[in-house]
Amino acid sequence: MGRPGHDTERREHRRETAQHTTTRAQRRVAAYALVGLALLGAWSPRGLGVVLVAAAMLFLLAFMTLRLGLVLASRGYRPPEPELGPDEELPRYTTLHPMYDEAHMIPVVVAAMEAVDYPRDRLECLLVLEERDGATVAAAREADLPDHFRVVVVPAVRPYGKPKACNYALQHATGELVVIYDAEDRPEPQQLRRAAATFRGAARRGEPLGCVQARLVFDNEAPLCDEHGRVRRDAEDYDVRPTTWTSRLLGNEYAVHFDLVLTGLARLGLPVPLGGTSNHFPLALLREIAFAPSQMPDMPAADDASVGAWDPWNVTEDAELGGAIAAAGWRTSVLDSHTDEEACLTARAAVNQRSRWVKGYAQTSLVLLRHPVRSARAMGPLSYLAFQLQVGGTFVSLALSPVFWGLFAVYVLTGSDRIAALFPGPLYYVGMTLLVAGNLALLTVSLYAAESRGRHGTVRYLLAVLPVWWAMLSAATYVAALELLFPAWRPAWNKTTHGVRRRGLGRRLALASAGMLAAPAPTPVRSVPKPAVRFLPPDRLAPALTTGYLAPGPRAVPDRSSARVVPPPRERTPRPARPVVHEVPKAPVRWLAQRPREAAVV
Amino acid sequence: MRRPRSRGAAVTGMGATRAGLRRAAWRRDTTWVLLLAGLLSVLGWWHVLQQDLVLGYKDALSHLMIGRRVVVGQSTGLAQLGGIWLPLQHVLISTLAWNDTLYLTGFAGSLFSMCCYVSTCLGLFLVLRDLTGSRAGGWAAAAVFGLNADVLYLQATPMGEPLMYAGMVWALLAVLRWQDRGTSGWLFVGAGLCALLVWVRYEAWVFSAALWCVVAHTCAVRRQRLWRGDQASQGALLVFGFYMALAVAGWLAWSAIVFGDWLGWYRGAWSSVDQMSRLEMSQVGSWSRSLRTYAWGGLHTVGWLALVGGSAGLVLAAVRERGGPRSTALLATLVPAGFLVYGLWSGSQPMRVVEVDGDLYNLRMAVVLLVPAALGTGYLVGSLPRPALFPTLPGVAAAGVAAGCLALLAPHLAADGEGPVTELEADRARAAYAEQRDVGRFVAEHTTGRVLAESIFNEWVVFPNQERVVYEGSRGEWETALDDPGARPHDIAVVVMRTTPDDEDSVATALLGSPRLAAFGVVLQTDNFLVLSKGAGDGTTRARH
Repeated sequence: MGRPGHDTERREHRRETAQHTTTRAQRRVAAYALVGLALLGAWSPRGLGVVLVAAAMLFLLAFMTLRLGLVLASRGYRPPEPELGPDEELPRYTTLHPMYDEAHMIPVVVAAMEAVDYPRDRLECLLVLEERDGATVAAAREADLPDHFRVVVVPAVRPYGKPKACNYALQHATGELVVIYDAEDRPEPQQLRRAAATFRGAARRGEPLGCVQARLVFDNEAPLCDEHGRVRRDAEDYDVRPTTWTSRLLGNEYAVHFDLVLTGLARLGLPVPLGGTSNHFPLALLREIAFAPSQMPDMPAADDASVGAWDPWNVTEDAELGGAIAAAGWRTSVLDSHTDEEACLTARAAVNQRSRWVKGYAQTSLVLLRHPVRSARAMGPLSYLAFQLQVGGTFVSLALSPVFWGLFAVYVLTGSDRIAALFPGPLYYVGMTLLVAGNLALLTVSLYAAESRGRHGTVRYLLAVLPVWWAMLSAATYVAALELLFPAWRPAWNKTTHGVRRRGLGRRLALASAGMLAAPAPTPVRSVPKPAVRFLPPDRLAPALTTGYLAPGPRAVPDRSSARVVPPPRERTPRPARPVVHEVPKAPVRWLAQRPREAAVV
Repeated sequence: MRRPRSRGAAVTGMGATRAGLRRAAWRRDTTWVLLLAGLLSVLGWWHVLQQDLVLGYKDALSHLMIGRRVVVGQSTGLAQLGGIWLPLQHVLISTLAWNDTLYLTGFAGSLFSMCCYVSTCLGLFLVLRDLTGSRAGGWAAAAVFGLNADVLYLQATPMGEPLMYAGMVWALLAVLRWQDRGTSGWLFVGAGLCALLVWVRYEAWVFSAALWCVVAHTCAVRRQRLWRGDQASQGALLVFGFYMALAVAGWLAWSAIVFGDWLGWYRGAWSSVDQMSRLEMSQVGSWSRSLRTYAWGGLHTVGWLALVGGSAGLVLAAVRERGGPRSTALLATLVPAGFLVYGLWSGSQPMRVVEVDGDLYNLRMAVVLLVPAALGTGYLVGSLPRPALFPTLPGVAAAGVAAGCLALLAPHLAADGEGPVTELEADRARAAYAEQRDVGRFVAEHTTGRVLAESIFNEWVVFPNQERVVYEGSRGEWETALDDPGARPHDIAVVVMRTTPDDEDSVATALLGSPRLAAFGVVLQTDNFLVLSKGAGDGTTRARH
């Protein structure tokens, strides 16, 4: 695949992996910087504070400007003109489905790909499984997979994870075009055709299109409703599509990212940090920009031909790949198509997921900072700066946010002169502008994304809890920072749980109150044995009986006389169960003992 | 022989060409509206400048001074904003008022008024073009507004009204386009403009609230759900209301933080309520008098022709739209006028007309009626039919409207003609402050150093000396300077006080006849003012006014 001819001024980009978070040179530079700051602090503590605040303000100003600029630029974005063609001219497509501990999702994957409109003789779906995941491998073997499905079992070699698995699977890919889908993904049926047509049109026009990214949509951002607007529930009164405030805000983040930020980057021709799935590439491009084999982990098979397209040590390998594509002179566009996904339902899971993403962004940024001049020459200075602001800037801005909010809160409460001294004249106005106008602008972007996508019900959540959400993202950032500093400490990675059954809060309250207000169920009456009744002869007065005995039957009234009747156990109205959110805890990663087993391709 | 094209193709081709021609015509019209409005604006400003009435209203001076104080003066900063007046205009003025020429000529404020005038004309044109599909309707609306003598005067002055008119018209346009196109972007534009209007004038608060009601009406007509389904109306109402509410909350918070009273703008010293308590207004408590006063004000400023045409047009719009959301959006522009009538009745706003009080005061409050008048007249013209025998009827009607407006404007431009009533009022106000102007000029030309003077009701004294003045908004400096102006740290070189019997200012109350002025000598004494300079002998200059 030829390199784009217009990038003759660029230096060739040498990709580096995130196997080591920082290099010795980076640590040396950081140490010098810390010493310099320490000396400045010793000489003038206030001066040090002002310098740090000024640097932070400058960064936040640049970050905010880029963010808002991208949103404005996104308005003029038009997807590349596709060129449709007959089915006979469609390229062969390989879809990669990396899965781990998701045996129950195999039918979902199969159903999702069966719904895709693409000629089956040109479609190849690879289930990429891990050798150490016996349950999923077994399930795959037992599943009745369509003919165009194949299973690739990746050897248990460190580092484990999706990027290495996909690298391994690429050697078995036979398609011209490749796309990655997660297990829960449900791509829009025409997506593969649209992507193929887009690449075809770009090739005909001579445009250097290296990747098309489909929009990702969390379909559980809003509940599923019927024609009357009522939430659809199953027979047991659980929401058919469970939605929480977390899934709403995650969905809104996706809307901002894919509808506004990525389209803005694509329109301006800047590097696009790819999303985790639904990225379509020409296989030849992935081979061209792949890592050198020496940079990749050693695989057990001598003839292993893994393609080092993704960085196995980077938890957001897709973002790094987006930068590599740009550095190689190729462009990324956002496809006019979408893939439905399922968002986390709990804040804890969301924080875990976000900490992984932010950590990956930091890794990507640190790798690109190893040789900043070389990387800038390869990507173009403006593109390099924009990409660093997007990835590393996200990490830094989330880390700085609680610091400045804290300073603001302390100042408001105490009127501290020391804090006031950190913000002389112009810095004060810049800070206030960022605080008020900047945050309002970010909120407006989120609101606009929600309204544009028709997620009107998300608006009240954004107005009510967005600052809390931002605080949670900052907390996730600090978790990510700890993981970077202490790689041995790694919290359990909670994958998005699927098949969760949940009732909304309103529904639970309604059921609870209905339960409390409902009349108690009538005490069921047991059929008691016929009492020993002797009817006295009519000429003798019988003692007045307090109870009339009915004919024995199923609803006999219990005797209140000496006969002791044991009341039947009262059947209690079952209390509504607490929402069952089965967080399938991801097993802590235990490194399996090395076993010299060959990879099996089934 | 040439084969004729098929009829279908011919029709399609013609339709596409017609639409393209129409778009090109609209683009040309837009350019012409901008050019003509710009030309009128500059000519109007030049005419008013020649009359030396750019700074006729006392309030014009106050707006300029507040804007300049943010960047120039004895105590600068954002805390100079707020108090009574809403701050947006002053924030804009502060970007230019640092320049002495722009400040002293008033152009630092006039420029924004002129830009708002031009944008209002364009906005009216676009609103009517969208509503009626008629260029003639747009031209008529722009002509009614743009050729009004009082508007041409106001747009030459650093007053806040032109800002409000522009905000109203463009917020209306945004809501109408949201109604028509359904794109959420216009909803956000309308919400943002309404939020900005909250920081322009208080009567714009009710207009913004009225537009929110229009949004609610729109959602109800579309049967959009509030709680079920996609909750579309909930999203629209929350978005539109959030920014307005935030702007109001921001203003209240600003008042609380800077002035210590979140309602200080309403009930504090020199607020409308406070000032009104010192005036005897015959409209207070009388609806009929209030309505008559405002009606006369509308007749004087807007003119009966525009009022009648506008009313007829608004009625027609309500009938044709069957009371739908587009007509309620137009009717929302009447709300500020209604609010001002309420203000007269409740005693929070003063206004006087010759027919009711024998005097002129605050007639510019009635000029806001021009917006619905222009909209209604434009709708009327735009709704005219195009009969086969007279297809250019709407165009001719628009030309007639423009000619009529020009005919009403012409007498005001004549050399011996009387200006519009707002200009007349400003002229009288300016004449009433001749003494203050002389005192201010004297202090500027014959003294140096810091000046201690109260700004309120002494605007003409303070205006040319603003950067030297320690005034009631100078916080701690004001109190300590009043306490002992001669003390070294203050370096007060000049003291100016208003000595009008029963209307002395704070400086006179604190220092007149006080031994604390022992180091000062009188350098100017007029009927109502005393100017003292530190270290001056008794070389009093007495001026009679």
